[in-house]
Amino acid sequence: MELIKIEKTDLSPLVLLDPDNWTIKMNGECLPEDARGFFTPVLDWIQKLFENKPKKLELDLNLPYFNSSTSKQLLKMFYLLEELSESGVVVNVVWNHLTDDDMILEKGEEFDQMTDLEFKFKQI
Amino acid sequence: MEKLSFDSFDELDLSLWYCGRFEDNLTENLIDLSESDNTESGLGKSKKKISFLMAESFQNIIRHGATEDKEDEVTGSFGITNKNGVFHIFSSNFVPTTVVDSLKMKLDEVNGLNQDELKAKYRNLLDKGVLSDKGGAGLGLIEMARKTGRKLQYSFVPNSDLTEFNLQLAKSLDDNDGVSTDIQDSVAFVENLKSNGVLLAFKGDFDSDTSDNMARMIMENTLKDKELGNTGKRFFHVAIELLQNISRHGQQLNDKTDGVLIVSKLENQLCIQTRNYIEFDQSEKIKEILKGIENLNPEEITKLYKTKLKESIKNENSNAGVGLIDVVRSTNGNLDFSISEKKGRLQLTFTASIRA
Repeated sequence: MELIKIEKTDLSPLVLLDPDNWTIKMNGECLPEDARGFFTPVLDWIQKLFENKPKKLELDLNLPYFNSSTSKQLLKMFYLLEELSESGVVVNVVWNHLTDDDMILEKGEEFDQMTDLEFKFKQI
Repeated sequence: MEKLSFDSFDELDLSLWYCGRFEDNLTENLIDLSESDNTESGLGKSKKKISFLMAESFQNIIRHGATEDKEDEVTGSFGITNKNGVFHIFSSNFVPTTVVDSLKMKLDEVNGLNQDELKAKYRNLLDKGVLSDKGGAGLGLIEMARKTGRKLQYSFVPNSDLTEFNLQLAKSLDDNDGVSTDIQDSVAFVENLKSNGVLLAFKGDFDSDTSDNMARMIMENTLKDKELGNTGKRFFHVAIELLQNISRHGQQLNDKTDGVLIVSKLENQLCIQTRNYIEFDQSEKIKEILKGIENLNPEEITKLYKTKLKESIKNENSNAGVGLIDVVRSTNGNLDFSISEKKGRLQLTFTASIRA
């Protein structure tokens, strides 16, 4: 498995897909015009995990803002991870949010309700 | 609050106005935005000249602008319009009243010189290396007059210690005289923008670069504004959804997605208005989505949002109205829309507001 790092810009987050520690990290605002294109390498990487199954995978998300087309891609990612978890991989999702950031906390809670993944909410 | 009418922008190929805080990165964003003008009468070869004139106007505001309050930030107004290849670049900022006389003298001197004399004066000043403590010696003004080939229009509005300094440059792309708007029209237009609390108004081609640049500017003034907190964030979300809705789904004509976007802030109310052209089937879809939400309570809207979000991932090309439903949610229902016919095309407008 390949380590993939996508640098942060002012409109898209840092993305780190790390096979050494089996973590997926995203950090920063996410509002690309083409959210589908932006998420393609992430979804492709996760797809490969079905053939290179780790015991455990941690998803660490710190997205202070994201647009609705990113929501769609995030849900696609969560569904894929749900499948991965059903195939025996322990998947942990850490949803970081600022203490007073109701909007991002709510969005995280909605994803939590929409999937069978375990979400851990972390105030930062 | 009286909303700014979209009609003010109808006859223009490009119209970009900003009233608010001036920071260095704003300059770049505004220049990039004006460069999105791809109309036949658009920038083309003169891109460099127009960008240069814009940058000079900004430098003028940032270097020489005095602050209205004690905080160390410069506020001012800026506008650029293009009508059939005639560009007007307007800037307005405060200067200390004590410098008005000398500034007026410099402007009149520059306006009294022909192109050769301007060139000689420019060289002379450079050779002497005489610079004021703010880093200029009227060099900027001379350059503006040289590059436009026209007189610099200006006006002063005294206001106790500080005086409002308005400056307007006109540049015709084909170097003909063209019609020049009187600076007083621009002053009146900016007064109208300010009394409506307008922060940013843009009319032009909503390509993806434009959309990104506008997103950056709105981000600085809402999402990153700590005083606004969660209200700023919710508003930013609404603005991004409506903005990207134009750049992604707006009807194109001659490879151009024509649209208008106005962001305003008045009496703790943030407001965004958008207008763009749409296809007939989009119109039906939008009506259907909004009708479907009309009588729902917040919990029901959230439920609908989740259902539609799930549906959307089955179809790559459709978002199933997820963005629009989320806008209704974020504004607590304060979203008005209208669809009307104009010159054989369908025009969609949205007005969304959020109270701080």
